Amino acid sequence: MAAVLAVGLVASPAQAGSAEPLRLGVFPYQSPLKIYNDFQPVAQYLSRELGRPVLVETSPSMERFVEQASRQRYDIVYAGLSYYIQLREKAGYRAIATVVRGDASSRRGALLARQDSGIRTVSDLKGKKVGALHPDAVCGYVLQRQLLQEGGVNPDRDVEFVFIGKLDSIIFSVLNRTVDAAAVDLSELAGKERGIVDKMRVLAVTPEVPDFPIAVRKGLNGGIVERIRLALIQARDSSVLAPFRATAFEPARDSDYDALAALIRKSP
Amino acid sequence: MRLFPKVLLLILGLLILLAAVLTVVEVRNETRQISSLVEQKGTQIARVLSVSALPHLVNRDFGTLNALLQETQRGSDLIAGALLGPDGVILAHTDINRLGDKGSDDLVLQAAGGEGAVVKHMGSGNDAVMAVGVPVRLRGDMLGVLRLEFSETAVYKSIRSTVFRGIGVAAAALVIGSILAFAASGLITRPILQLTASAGKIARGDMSYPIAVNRKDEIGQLAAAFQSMTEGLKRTFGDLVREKRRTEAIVQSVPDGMVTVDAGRRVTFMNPAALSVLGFSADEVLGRPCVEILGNPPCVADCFLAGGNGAASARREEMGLITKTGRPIRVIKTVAPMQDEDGRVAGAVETIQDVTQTRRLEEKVRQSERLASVGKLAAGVAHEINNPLSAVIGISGVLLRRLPADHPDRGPLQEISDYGKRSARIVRDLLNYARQMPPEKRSTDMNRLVRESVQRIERANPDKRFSVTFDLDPSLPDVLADPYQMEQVFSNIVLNAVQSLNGEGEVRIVSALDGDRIRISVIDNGCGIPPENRSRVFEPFFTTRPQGMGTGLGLSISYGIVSGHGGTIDVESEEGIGTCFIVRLPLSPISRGPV
Ligand SMILES: Nc1ncnc2c1ncn2[C@@H]1O[C@H](COP(=O)(O)OP(=O)(O)OP(=O)(O)O)[C@@H](O)[C@H]1O
Ligand SMILES: [Mg+2]
Repeated sequence: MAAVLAVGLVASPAQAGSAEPLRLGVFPYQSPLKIYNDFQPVAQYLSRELGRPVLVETSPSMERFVEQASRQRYDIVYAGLSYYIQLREKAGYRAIATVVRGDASSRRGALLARQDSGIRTVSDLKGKKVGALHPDAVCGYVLQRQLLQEGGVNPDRDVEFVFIGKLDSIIFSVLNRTVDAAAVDLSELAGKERGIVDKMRVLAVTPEVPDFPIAVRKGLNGGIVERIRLALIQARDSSVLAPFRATAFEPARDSDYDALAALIRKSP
Repeated sequence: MRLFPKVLLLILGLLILLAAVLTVVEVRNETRQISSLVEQKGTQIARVLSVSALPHLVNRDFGTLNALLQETQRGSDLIAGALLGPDGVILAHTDINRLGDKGSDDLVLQAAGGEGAVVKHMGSGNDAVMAVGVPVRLRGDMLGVLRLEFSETAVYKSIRSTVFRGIGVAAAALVIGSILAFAASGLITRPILQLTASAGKIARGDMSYPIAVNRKDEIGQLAAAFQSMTEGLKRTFGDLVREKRRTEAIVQSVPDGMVTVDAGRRVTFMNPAALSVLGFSADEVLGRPCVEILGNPPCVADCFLAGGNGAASARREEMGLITKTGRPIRVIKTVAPMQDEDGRVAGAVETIQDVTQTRRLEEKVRQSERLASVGKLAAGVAHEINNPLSAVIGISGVLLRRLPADHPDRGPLQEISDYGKRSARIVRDLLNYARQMPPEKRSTDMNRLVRESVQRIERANPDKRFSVTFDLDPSLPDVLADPYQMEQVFSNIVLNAVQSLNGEGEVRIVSALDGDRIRISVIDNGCGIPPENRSRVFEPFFTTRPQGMGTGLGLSISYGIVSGHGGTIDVESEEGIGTCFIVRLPLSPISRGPV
């Protein structure tokens, strides 16, 4: 597997001229091979639009990804919110577009419990088990900590967080009472079946934050940056949009993420 | 009920029974098979699921676990699937509403306590459910129990379809069976019907009908037995028929008449001889009372029938009968009783022997003998008288010539002479008769001869008024005859006829060809001849005329002449109605030939 991956990473489509290829770095939210394969149409689209070869790259882990990015390895980066904030602060990557899912380009997190659990407010969560996505998940953990804090519940002492890597499993854990509450990304929940959503009570919601960004390296040529932004905005092909689970891209400024950065900084 | 529907019903009944038994057996088998199959399949699914669920359970990946259960449910008979934690809480369930509930039961506890799958059947029919419980363990630690409920309706559905198939098979069997039974029973009943038809034909006496049953089975044997029986019958029947034909041929060919009469005295049979004697045809006599046919006196059978079982021996007697045409005949009748098996008189057989001709011939023979003897006597006498008479006539003639015309003795002398001459004529006639001169035959036209004879009589008897009509066959061939003698014959007969008329009536003369003879009948409607005289008219000197008017020799001489020609002379007469003399003469060999 590692050999195939290595070969795959090197043998990139270099059909678009002799110019230096651009590297598209995708944060490892899934298995590297799957990411590599899924993002090939995106790379091809971009290389066609930009007239330059575009290579897909990812990492075996988040730490490694952040490390590579810090070294300016990726010309274009697609990353989760907390990682992006890290990249922005550590390596100067700037957001140029935002993923639009459904018709929203923003998202918010929430704390949920079973309707019949007797838990009605955030403060009721004292001494309870709370299922969360990942310690780095902005809308699936980070922002919820603040909600707990605001509700008078110490997120480190008063509740026991259980990290369950998948949204579905967090919800089912609530449903089968393995956990008492869940920290979930509300926008992700929107796509779930009514039967599940109806069983849930929303205890609190986080402020709205922009969706995942597509960012570029600090020193990348301004003309190319604009062409990349244009290509993304004009992307309509589902094979290009699907890897991002996007319906479209919206132009974004890096400043759009300032509030988010502040929130994360504020996080306990 | 006929054989065919019986066989049909039997076969159909058997078929339906067979189909029912097969269906029941099949349903049982299938139930067992499908149940064990479903059990196997269910436990297998449960095991596989428990294995694949383990890592997700360890990872608390309940979403995937739920997805796994729901995925398993798709396209299978899984009604409900649940993964329960060690505390009995439902961690994953095909129905998300059940998540988090306590879902423990006996099966779960049993499965949690054991190693392998636990199977339990619940409900029946459409609600039939098979539950399988499998523990999910990791290195001896009980992480949970997988509990799956499978619908067994598919089993019952399949069993139902088996039942329907059974019914279908039964229906098909019914249809096919009907056809087969029809054919089969046809195979059985057709030859029987053929046998029946043959038997019917044989009963009607037709044994030529071949029994076309060419089979080796019981029916074939029956047919063969029937065939040999028929052949036996045919032989016996043939013998009977031959015997009957022989008897019939004998009866038909015997010259004597045979008549059978039943107990009701009705004619049941008459052979051709009897019919021809009596002048009837078979249709006219069969079934008629024998009295009507066999005339008066009543048929002799009466005496047997009246006497019951009495005198059962044959009788024989001679009697007169009247034929259909009214002709009197004489017969000798023999009557014998016919007895049935019990010895009772069931009828009679009469044989009739027509002796009319015999009796007539006998009479004729007697007559000719008599005539012959009388003739000889007369001839002798005449011869002796002739000479003295000649002297009487000669001398009286001489004396008359000598006596003067006014002599008083002349009158008596004349009388002597006349009586003498008359006596001489009688003597001459007698001699004529007695002498029986051989005829001088030549070819003679009898029509013409008859006419001339009549003219001569008319001329000789101008004072007598009478009319003669002729009905002569113009094609009558000539015969060889002595014209002089024949003229004598017809003169005599016609004169007799004229004399019988007494001035009124007429004489008819008919000539005709009659076989190898010619027949000349002289018919008058005069006084007729009383029966007692009928046989005597040909005797010499028999006369009914007043003294001195007839000698009674006319017919006896005629008889002699006709006999001398090889012919016959017959008389038929009814008193007060008339008489018919019939002269038959044989045709000459010449006229018989080409004519
Ligand atoms: N046609 C007739 N009808 C009635 N009686 C007849 C007839 N012919 C003959 N006879 C009877 O037969 C008898 C015999 O006839 P036959 O001619 O022999 O003799 P005869 O007429 O009496 O005498 P003769 O010698 O003159 O003829 C007659 O006397 C008569 O009684
Ligand atoms: Mg006469």
